[in-house]
Amino acid sequence: MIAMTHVGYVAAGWGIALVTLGTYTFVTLRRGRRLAAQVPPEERRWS
Amino acid sequence: MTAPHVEPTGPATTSSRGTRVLGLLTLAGLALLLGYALVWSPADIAQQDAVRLMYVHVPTAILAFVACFITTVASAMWLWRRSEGWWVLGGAAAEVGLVFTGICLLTGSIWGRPTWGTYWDWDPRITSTTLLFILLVGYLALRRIDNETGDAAQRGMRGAIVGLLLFPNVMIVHYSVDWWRSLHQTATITRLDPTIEGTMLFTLMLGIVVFGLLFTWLLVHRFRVGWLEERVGATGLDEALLERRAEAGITVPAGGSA
Repeated sequence: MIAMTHVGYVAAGWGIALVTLGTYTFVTLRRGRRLAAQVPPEERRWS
Repeated sequence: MTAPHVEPTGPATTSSRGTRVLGLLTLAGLALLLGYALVWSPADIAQQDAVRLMYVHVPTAILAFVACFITTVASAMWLWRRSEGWWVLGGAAAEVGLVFTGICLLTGSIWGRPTWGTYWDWDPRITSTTLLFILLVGYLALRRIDNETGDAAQRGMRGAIVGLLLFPNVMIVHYSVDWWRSLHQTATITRLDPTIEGTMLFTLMLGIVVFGLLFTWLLVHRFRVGWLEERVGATGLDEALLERRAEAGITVPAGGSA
């Protein structure tokens, strides 16, 4: 197996990006779920 | 008159069939991108494996710019049409854009250490991107501040004017490496003869497509969250009016409007 250089930098960069996007996705979906429960279905045009 | 509260019958989420398909495509694309970005694409002769940060840094930068463009267009359209959809779209794009700009700054800083020898420099590209990040924070904060009279139109006007400034600032970010002396490299893929090729160019393009899918998926969900916030806000206002009337002893006949 070929050793990779700068492993720490690559892992930190990709790790921060994926964790940030994953967290933001989770928070957005949870916000949506909470708000959607307070609104009648006819106001949710997409469902 | 207030609408009677109706128990939702369908799934109370911001998902639809379209977003589910898009989400699955994005996940598959991300798996493929990780394979190319971290394993199958070659290391660079000069930067070695640090170049693998390019496949996250460049796509997030491009999509941050796209987000600012959408917010600026939505702000202009809101000033023209005053429709709720443009207002919600402007806020949704700015919030997703803030996340992408933050990731772009962080990955750029991490990439800068092995290539330039520093995490930070008062370089024109880095400084103007940081200003863009601050401008996005300010724009989102301004949208949430209620003025003394609670005048939604005035709040919208302030937000829309700041929204108009976002894309011009993106142009400053883009051309900063040409206008001023900069540590940052000049354009790599937007010129007629791209300075990278082969698997590296393919991986970069794949990154732009996959992060583009993710951006679109997030934007749709965030737009729906904003739409729901407006609906809940309107209901809250109706309820507050009813409470005030009840306090003042004003009764509203059943089924009648106030």
